[in-house]
Amino acid sequence: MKILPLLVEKETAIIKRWLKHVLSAFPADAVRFLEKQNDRFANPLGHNFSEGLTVLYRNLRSEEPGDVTATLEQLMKVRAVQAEDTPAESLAFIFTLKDIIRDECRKEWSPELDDEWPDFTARVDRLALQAFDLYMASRERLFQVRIRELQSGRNALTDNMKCPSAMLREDLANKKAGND
Amino acid sequence: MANTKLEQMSDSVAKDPSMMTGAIPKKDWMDTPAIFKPGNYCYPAKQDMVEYLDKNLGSKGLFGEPRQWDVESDDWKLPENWKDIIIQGIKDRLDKFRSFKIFMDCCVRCGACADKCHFFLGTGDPKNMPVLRAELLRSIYRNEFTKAGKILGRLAGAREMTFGVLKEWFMYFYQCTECRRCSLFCPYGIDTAEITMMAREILHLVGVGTNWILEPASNSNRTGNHLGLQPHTFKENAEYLIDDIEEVTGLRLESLNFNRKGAEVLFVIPSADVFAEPGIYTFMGYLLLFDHIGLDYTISTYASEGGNFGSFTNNELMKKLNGKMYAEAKRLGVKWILGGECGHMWRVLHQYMDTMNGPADFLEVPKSPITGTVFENAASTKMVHISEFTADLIKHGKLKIDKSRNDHRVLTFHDSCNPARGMGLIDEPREIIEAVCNNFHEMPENTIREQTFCCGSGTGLNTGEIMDLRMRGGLPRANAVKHVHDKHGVNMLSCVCAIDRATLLALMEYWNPGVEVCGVSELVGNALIMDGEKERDSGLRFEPLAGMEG
Repeated sequence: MKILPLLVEKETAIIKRWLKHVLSAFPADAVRFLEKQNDRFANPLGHNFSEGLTVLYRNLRSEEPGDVTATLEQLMKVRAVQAEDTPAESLAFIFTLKDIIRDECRKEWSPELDDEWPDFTARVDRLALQAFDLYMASRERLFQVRIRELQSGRNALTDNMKCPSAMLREDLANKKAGND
Repeated sequence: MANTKLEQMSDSVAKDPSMMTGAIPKKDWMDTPAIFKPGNYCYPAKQDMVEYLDKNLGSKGLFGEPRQWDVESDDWKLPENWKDIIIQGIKDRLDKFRSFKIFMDCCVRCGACADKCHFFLGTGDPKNMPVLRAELLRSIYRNEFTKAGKILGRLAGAREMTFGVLKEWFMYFYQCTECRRCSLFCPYGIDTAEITMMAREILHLVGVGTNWILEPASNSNRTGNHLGLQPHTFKENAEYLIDDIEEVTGLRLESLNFNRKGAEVLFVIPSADVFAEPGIYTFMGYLLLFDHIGLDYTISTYASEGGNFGSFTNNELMKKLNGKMYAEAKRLGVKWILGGECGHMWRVLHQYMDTMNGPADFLEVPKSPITGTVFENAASTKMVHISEFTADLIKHGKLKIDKSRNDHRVLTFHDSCNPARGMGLIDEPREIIEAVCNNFHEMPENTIREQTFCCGSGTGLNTGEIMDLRMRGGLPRANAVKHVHDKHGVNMLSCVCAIDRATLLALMEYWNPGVEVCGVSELVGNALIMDGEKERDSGLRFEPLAGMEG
């Protein structure tokens, strides 16, 4: 059997395990909820992960892979604000997919698949590289949001800042000090 | 076959302490310490802010000992008797607030609230389950004030007050926006927001508070508004917007006025509406509306802030900051008060103002001078929401409207927590939107109306140093907006709260680029056909109208 058809056959089991692996990063009390609540609006984290991983996996095992940037970007946005994780921890789940696949397919594994394996893992690695770019772009976006908030004056609501009259008084005091 | 290193790496992700919350999954919550790292806490209050507030509230020690302290340090420079202060603080409040006592006693930990908090949904941290967040305080209550807790200790869910508990309180009672979504699902009606309010009051007693809350509160106490704008600056800022209105409509509005005695109505707004985008466009909408109907109103330069950051500290400061509305209404001799699109102003007003600073028997029951409608719902507070007022005008056909002027917008509406759940303002903004816009799409049912998701940045959490946390807390809201953005091409998120207008913009920039944020009154201002106006080719923010892009 070729690898891609095998991955289609094993799809449900692999995605399930991959999702479980990703969610295991959360405290046990939360995992139960994240796994079970199927309403996408009542469980945005769980939904983003389950939908995202499914799209990514199906693309990886597709004969004609398409563009998954939008899905991967959404996942990386979620990851990029989970500040308890380092970037490596945030992206590790992509590499772990290789282990999960090998383990799930161990009974069906054949030397023929060994030949195909490097090509398939290259797909996973390319996805990881793209994920790295999108993760960094998300962090960058977060900083830009913060900067724009400062520039727009919205920080007046979201940070403490001096009132214009206080700044005027300071200016006058500085000028006076300069003149003296 | 399996790559050992990767297995170990995955394992460490699951088992190592969480940097954001300190959560270690496999341990009981009582054994999971809160660990502060840059990005997961708000900066502590400055010494001079605490000194100022203490002095101005009668030096009763409500804000603790003024000092400089470092959240990440293990020495918060607490007073020696800090534990006694905390326990006494709890006791005083149990005696004073019957609701607090009931909320401490009657929870049966059914878990109905557990998965309703946007912070839990966005962080996955069990201590953000409202039931568990309340347990952080309840466990101390049991230990000190219940027999079972005193005798059985941990078996009865009790524990001693320690520095670790204090840290936990500071972390998690500042990861609650008092939005009250959880309360909606509680079979006993426990208002978890009020538990957070109590916890924050108690934290302030030992000088544990954040600067972003105490500085605007100090400013409000001094000049009436968060920024500390003095009357002339406030007035000038508002007048700049008259220039902008003239550029868009060709009309010079003459009706804007301040501190005018004998006006019929006092208009109170969140101060952000006169100085920060996109609130200024909402303000322009108010002014156009008032001019359109010829309302006899005035704006006070002292009651120049509807927002009440005192409500994030303690009831005494909340009361004091709220008091200026009635004081100014009395001084100016108005008949009733109209309030702008503000969030927690309405919570304070609807639930506490009458008890704290009422009865306002020097005012009249609000009656619209245009339609004759008597606002019986405001018979006691004498204060009407701008959306109620506008919806009534629309219902009576008193506004000349060109809906097509909002055709460049595909809208959805975010029910701001405080007006929606705090006072039941749910249908009026929708009636307005339907009347002034052609393209309106609701978000999914379990994310709007009473069940609305918070912006994730209310109650003093909208400060920049916790931007990561804000994006997580706002994920449930952003997720619902993304749905209507993808499905219907929604490009404008409307709301009736100044904090929303500021923070949803950041939330959208991160999660849903291409979706802007506006107040409902801005949409009204766009649509109003004013007598003598020029043909409009742009909206209030100078954006081209549909068909005028060229």
